[in-house]
Amino acid sequence: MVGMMQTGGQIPTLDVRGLTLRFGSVEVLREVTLQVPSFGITALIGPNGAGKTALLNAVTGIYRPQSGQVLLDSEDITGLPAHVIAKKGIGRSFQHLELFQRLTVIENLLVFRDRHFSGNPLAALWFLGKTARQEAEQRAAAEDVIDFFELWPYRDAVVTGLSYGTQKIIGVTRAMAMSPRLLLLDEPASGLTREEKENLARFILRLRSDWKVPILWIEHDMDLVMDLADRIYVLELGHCIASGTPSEIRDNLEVRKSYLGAT
Amino acid sequence: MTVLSIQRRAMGRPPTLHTSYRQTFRLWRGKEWAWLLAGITVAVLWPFIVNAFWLHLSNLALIAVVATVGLNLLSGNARLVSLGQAAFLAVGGFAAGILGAQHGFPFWVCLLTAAVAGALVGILVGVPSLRLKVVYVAITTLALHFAITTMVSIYQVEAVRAHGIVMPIPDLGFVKLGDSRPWFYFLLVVTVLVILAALNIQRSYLGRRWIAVADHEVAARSAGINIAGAKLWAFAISSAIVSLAGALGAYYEGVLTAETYDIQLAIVYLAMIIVGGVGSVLGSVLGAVLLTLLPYMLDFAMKAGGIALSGGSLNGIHSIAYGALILLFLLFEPLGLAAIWYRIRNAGMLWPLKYTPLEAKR
Ligand SMILES: Nc1ncnc2c1ncn2[C@@H]1O[C@H](COP(=O)(O)OP(=O)(O)OP(=O)(O)O)[C@@H](O)[C@H]1O
Ligand SMILES: [Mg+2]
Repeated sequence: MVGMMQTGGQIPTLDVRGLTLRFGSVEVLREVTLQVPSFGITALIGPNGAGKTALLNAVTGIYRPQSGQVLLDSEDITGLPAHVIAKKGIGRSFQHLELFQRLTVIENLLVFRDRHFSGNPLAALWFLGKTARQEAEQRAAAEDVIDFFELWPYRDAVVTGLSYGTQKIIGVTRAMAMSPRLLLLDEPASGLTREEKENLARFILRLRSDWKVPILWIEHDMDLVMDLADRIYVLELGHCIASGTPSEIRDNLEVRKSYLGAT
Repeated sequence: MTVLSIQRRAMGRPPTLHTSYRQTFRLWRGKEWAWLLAGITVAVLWPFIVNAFWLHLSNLALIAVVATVGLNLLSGNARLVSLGQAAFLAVGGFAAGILGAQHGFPFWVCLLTAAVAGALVGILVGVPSLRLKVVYVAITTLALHFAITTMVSIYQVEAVRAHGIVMPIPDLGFVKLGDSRPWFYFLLVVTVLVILAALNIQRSYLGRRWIAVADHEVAARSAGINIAGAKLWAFAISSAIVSLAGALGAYYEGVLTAETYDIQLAIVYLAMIIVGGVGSVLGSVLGAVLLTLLPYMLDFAMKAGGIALSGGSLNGIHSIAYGALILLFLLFEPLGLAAIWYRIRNAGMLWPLKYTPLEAKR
């Protein structure tokens, strides 16, 4: 199988085995097998409607797969409720802007730190002791992420008024604010200007090298993917048709193109 | 999508240098001493400044503020639009009536029980609302309204066999709440505590959860938030506060009747949060005070204008005024009185400049 390559025999952070997802009679994912090792950037590419977003939704518990397994650090998380899976430390950004529009940037980040808050919700009524201490600690942690993504001017701005590109970056920031052990990015570069894309590329590389968080990255921009990814999976019509290093995939796609006349 | 929203954060505060993260979410900035002192002075003197009628109105307004703050947490922050406001007030009122008047339990016990009863009923109506969209939540709470009002009417007819329940005079131990003056101070303290609790919720993870769940459910789940849990907490806390207001109202009025809790009451409360500011504690206060006074101001105006109307037509005039006010605000200032206040304050802060800095924008 293609799955085990380049993981150096280590347990992958995310191990998707034979995942099948159907909506009625439509098979959106068919026996998808994919692994995200504990280090580096794993890219997932494929044409529109291939099932890339559906795969993320099946992994994170938004959709329930009909068969197959999802293992997070070899723990079986298949079919668990979405919030339970998220609490285990899977941070996720969305393809379309799905920020909390009524909240400020820093509050959006704090919501994604929700799993780090504990205690009786009734204690929040008085905001004493632990509630206040916890709030300050979590705020400090969220500020670290703000620093990393250089979002200082926007931290107290309500999300609604910000530009598309900025909101897109905030989506990635918010996923990282969770302090996740696995980061899932759904087309973070779509709709960004060239400059914003370069910024994003810089952040993604630093996430890889400094924060050492394993990343599964869905992307349409092939130049970006070929430059940044450590390994690539290609999804087509809900099936994984190829995987390998960027150069292997490039050759593979060239071959397919010459045979089939399309990607 | 976000038309009816007021940002809970301190709008338009000038940029301040923070030296610790605690300062970023503090309510008290240490510069409000003058305001606090002025507030306390006015509050202490108020019962001696105004006449008995205005003091009575002030007390009614304070109770309405408590009930509106409660409703706004549910319908403003968590966006679960509730038509069950009168029902929750009735739960509190009748909990106090049954325990306090019929069985002689002390005032504190009755207030506490009223709040707990409200929370339980809130959870009860919350459960079937979990999978429903906003409109349907309005319908489940409407169903609750009719269930509760029918139940309390039956109770009143069958168990009390009278036109209403006469409430005992609350005894705080050191003072009896017989007269409007002690009532004013007592209600003021309760109102301030409830307002503080609401502000605390809004700056804590609990309030953020409610907004997150209302704004984007899938994203909220992906953040690790249990949607059902968050909504049920919103129902419980909001309903507890509203029922507490219901109990206070029953004790204050002295007589408890089932007929008080009609659907118009529920709608007037929705009007209060729309006029005041959806999701804003300041808005709850402004809306509750304005709409409590509105019918009396209209009557004054009509008397002054020499217009004499019978009871029925007067009620009609009041309803028209409420309706007109809701329409005006929905059309011209969906963010309510609170937004108007923030705009005025921003303008004052920036004067003579005309632009709004990023932080002061809504
Ligand atoms: N909830 C759903 N119900 C029915 N069909 C769905 C649902 N979600 C996704 N699909 C179908 O699954 C297929 C894959 O969709 P998906 O959004 O995963 O594509 P994608 O690879 O992310 O495409 P894009 O690059 O355009 O984002 C599509 O044909 C879509 O219509
Ligand atoms: Mg997609």
